[in-house]
Amino acid sequence: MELSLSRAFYTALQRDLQLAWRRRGDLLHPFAFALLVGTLFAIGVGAEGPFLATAAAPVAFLAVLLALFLSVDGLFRPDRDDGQLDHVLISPVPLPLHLSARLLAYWLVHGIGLTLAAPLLALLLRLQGELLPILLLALGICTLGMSAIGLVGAALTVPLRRGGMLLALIVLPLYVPLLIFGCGAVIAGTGASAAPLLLAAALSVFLATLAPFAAAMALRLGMD
Amino acid sequence: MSSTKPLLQLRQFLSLRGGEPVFAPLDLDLHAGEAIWLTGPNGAGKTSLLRSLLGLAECEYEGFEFDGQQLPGAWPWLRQHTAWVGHEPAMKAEFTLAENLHFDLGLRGAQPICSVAAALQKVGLPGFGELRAGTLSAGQRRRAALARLALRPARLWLLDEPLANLDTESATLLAGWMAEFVAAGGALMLTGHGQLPAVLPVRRCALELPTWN
Repeated sequence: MELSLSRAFYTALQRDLQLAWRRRGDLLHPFAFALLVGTLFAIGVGAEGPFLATAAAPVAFLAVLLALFLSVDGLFRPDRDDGQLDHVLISPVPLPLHLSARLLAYWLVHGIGLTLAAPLLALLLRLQGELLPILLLALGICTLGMSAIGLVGAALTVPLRRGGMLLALIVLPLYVPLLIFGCGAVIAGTGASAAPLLLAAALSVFLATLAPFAAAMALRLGMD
Repeated sequence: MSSTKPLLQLRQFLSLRGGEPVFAPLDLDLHAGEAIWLTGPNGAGKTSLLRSLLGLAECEYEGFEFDGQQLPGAWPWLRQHTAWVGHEPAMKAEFTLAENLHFDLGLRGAQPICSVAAALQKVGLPGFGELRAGTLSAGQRRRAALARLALRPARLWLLDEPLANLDTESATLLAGWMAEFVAAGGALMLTGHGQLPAVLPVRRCALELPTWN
């Protein structure tokens, strides 16, 4: 029987995108969550005063980061519960290849999807208008790296019945470098050096390349 | 019994759960053109045995050969020539049956050897291809999961309670299909309780609980 790796890759990608479309109502939850985090912060600090202006970019960033984390557990758990993960594990397709398709789909749906919440967050938090394009760019880039970290975290915790809290403890600290570079780029503002953004991009690509291999090892370890 | 080499040969085979054996050491030969029915009380490790044959659960053995090749090296070979339908139907409720079967095969990077409609016909679900899996009953989902057996060539079928939740008529239909597969030279290992339809001749193999020291 012939084995087509490109077919395996595109099927995995298509399956996840189609599934996200069928469950599109569910995508509103993290979106609304990000907006709520922003709103709560704005209410807490008060709309007046200089603090909100300086905090707007990091808070928008954090709101998206936390909302993205909410969907990480859904990467493998449904597949484990309905038995599909077992079929993937014994398939002749190399596991890292399958996982890179899953990562790409996850980033396109959740990463880019939540990045689209940024304009609303910017409005809520009174971010200076000229910073919005940088915020969008930084979020688009950093969500790729965050998705990659989430992939490994989800693979590590999927054998656990209640892995949610542990997942947070594993994944959230690893977001720090991306948070620093991503927020740094927005705070530095227009006309500043592009170095933080480039570093964030390099880090995201690096993580996205390695994560499928690490996640594959984690899934195999938890196979029993 | 034929004198040729068995397709699957187990010597002192044990499935482990948390490092402890699940059943008493098992010796078993399964030849092509033969069906084995695994029986045993609940918790005797029927599911664990099927899963550890595929390398999905821990196991220990003195001998484990598939098609004359030694495990663990032969696992890719075994997995390629084995079709497994586990306890869970491995179907997404949001997808139609046709989509589920299509994705299932595509994720393996494989092309189907017959149409999805023909596969669903085999399990007594003709014309159900466009229905969402979530709208089906447990028995219908089970039959739909078995339809994937028709889409891919395999020499060994490992079926975990394939006839659970099925009405008598469908159970007879599916047992007849399994009998055809075995008659054509396939090897079959299935688990279950109660009575099998008479159309499928099987050799029984009872798993026993391990002796606790």
